Amino acid sequence: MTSVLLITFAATLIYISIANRLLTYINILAFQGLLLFGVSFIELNEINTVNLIFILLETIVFKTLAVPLFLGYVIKKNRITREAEPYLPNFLSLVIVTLIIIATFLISNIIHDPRLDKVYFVVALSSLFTGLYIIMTRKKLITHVMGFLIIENGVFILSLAVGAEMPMLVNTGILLDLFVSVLLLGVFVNKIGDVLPSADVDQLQNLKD
Amino acid sequence: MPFHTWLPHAHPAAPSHVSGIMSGVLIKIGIYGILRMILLIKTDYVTAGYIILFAAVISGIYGVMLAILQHNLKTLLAYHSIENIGIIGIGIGLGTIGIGAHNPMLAALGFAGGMLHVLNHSLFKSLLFFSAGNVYQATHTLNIEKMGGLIKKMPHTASLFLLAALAICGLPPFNGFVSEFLIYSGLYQGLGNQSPVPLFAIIASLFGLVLIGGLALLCFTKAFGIVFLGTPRRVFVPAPVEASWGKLVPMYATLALIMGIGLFPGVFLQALSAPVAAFTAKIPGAPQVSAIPENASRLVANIGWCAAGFIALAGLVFFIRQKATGRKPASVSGTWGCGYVGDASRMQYSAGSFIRSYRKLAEPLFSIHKKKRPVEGIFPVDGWQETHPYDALEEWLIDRPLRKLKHFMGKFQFLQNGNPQFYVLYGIVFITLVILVPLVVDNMYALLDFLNQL
Amino acid sequence: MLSLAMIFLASLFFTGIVIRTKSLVSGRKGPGIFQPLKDVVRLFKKGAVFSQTTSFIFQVAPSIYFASVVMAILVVPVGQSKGLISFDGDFVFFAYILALGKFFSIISALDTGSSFEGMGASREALFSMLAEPAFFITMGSFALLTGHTSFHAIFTALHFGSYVSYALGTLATFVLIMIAMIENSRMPIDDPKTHLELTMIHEVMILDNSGFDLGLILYATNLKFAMYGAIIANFFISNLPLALAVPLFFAVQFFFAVIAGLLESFAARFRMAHNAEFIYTLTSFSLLIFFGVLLLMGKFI
Repeated sequence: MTSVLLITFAATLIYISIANRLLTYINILAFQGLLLFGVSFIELNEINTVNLIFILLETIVFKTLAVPLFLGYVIKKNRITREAEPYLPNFLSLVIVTLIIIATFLISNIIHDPRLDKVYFVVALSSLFTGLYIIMTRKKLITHVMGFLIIENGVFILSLAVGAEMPMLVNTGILLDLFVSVLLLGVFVNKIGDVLPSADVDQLQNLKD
Repeated sequence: MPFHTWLPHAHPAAPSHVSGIMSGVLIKIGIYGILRMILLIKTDYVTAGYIILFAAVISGIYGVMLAILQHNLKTLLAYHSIENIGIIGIGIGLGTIGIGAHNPMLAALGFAGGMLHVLNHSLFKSLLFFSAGNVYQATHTLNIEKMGGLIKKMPHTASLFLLAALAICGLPPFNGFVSEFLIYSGLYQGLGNQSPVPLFAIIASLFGLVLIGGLALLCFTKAFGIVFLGTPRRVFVPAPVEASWGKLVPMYATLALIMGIGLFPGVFLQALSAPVAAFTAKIPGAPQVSAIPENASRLVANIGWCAAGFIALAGLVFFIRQKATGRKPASVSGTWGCGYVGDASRMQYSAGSFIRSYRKLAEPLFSIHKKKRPVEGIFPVDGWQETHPYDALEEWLIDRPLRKLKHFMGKFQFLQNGNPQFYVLYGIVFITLVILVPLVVDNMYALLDFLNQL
Repeated sequence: MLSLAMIFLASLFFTGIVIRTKSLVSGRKGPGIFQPLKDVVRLFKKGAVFSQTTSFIFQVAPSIYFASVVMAILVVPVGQSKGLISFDGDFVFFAYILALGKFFSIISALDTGSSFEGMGASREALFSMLAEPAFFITMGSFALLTGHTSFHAIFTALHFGSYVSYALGTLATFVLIMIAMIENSRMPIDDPKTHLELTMIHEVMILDNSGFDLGLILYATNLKFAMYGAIIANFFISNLPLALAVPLFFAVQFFFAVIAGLLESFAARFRMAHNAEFIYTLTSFSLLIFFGVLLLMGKFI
């Protein structure tokens, strides 16, 4: 069942590569949170209850609800235009993301570690690279935050792979990381939105000394 | 693949019948060489197969992708030769993997498909080149943007070109389908029993083969549609006429062979069994009795039956149509132009516009040089756009290094100043250097030895 | 033989159901289910008008298009009963014979010399080129899963066991529905109801066809729809006994038609520029199916 969810997760990565509107990005992020909720719910039934509830809350409250709502709020507040404005045509992004998935799949064949479930590994690594790719090729600052969140999701999946033995600490770390990064970047976007008229990354180049 | 650049330049320059031989025989020499080498060497066949497969898929896709962009009819056909060599290579690569993996079925299918495609390609490609030659002699141009409506003037050439185009796209009742089908069977056969990474190579070549097929369809609908169909885009003086029967008879003979392979592939497959046996014999413990496995020949016979059945079916439908419409009124009128009734021959879709959306997708891969004057203002006067496709690989791997080399060599031009006395001086300098350099080097070594011993 | 009869039967009412669904959703009563069929019959009785630009290509192309679709139907099995033609790798034949029909419909559109029809032809060629890998890779994945390479053998050997296989079945159904929509030029790709020639794909290619030829093309479209419906139905009914399979076949066809109708009622057509990437997504999805199959077979680890 988890592999079904993870394959769906990979499908969302493909979808995000051709999405045009920021709203779609947000919806996909929320959906990914939901998928992660499902995965952790099924996978982590061996750890103690408090910890499980904590993780589930994290995925459902933060990843699925709070972060997307917050991003939507930021977009609305700063009056960021709805288009994602990629540098490369969407068709090329699609080809590249597909290539990323294929490449991670090939890489996973090299690793011979019986403890590591390969599906987790492939999906985690490809979402990591897809996140980086989205950061690289999208014009807007807010899409940087989204790319970062996709990377976060990838890391979360990888940590789920070792799920049952995962200590609480790693868990908290992920949550804190997520929270702080979104908060910081949100404030960042807010401030930039106040100072500069547009939230394009192009403007940031002027800040170099 | 990067060694293909001479071909698209050579074909338009050669007369058409020579082009036919060139693509039919000359460029197959490479394939022959690869086949002989596979017979000779004793090596890790799986790795060799992957190398061939990889090169073949790349050159196949790249060749056809460039072919679509061409505006010169013979350059277009030349790039298609590259693509077809790619298809042949996929077959041979599969066969080699089959040898390596001790899979006689895969080896037989791969080699049989590849070799049959060699024959097929030489047939339909020469037919295409001959038709292109007829078109050239009638219109004295090879730029397909200037042609159009030639099917009315030269119906025989047009039909021959159409049938050859269908064959080269690998569409069913013709011979191209038989060999491509053999390769497909080999690919699906290869999916059966291997470990993950080889599977991946196979799915990649499957993807490549399908993409080649689709792109070839796009390319030949463009070539046939723009050259022969529609209304003429330019008035040719003298008006184009059909080629003489002396030219048409050999072309019809070629067509007969194409149809023959399409309808009775079993016969030709049996003829291939001896050369294929030479390859399958390399597998230890392979059945020596018949190189082509029983079910493969049955499969191919099926194809023949289906092809014949399809022709019969299409004939039947057309017959019913003729019967049904025979007594009904059929009037002739202009093409629907959305209410516009003027001369629309300049408004037709051109070759450039037919592939525009494709070009937009593929643009990052190629270096396409565009020149245009856009239409501006309320009362636009004149606007035009030209695209000049150029091979990006050729540009980066051949042209730039050559230019750099030329630039570098140009620095020594002062040496060639035309004064014989200087040339004698160069001779003397050269002889002195020949004598002195070894001496100096020896002494240097002696010095180094001495220093080392210190 | 059974499959041929059943697909013909399904084609009689398929488009009717699509149209009926659309009209019901938009609050109209709508025409009867057999109205598209009546239209075809009416066209068969009519005379024709040919453009003076056209040549013999334009005359033969509709017949060949129709014949290619019929030939493709002969390959498709229904449930346990084989198609009339069945051999290893017959889905390659299936795809290529459809491509032949498409080749002729494209050049017949170019034959009229109209710029609109050239536009439609260009789009059709590009989109079908992009859609083809998805079909081949999906079928290849199932060939890998079952170890067979003909439609009939694949479908009878296919049984759903684990969760993953259900997910793959769903994904494959999605890919096939979308391929059917592309091949038939229906909603997310092409809007059959549009009135502007510039935004059409398939409709604009047949602007100049009339009379018997137009009837052939329209009926071939119905057949094509029913054919794809049959392939999708095969995913669900292939292992059932015949008495159960036949009603289920028509049920699946009915649902497919309703889904198509609903999709056309509620979805908007994509911008022409976005079509290419959408179609290519199908190839990416089919690659996911391939990976899923590898996972299922345990070759992954």
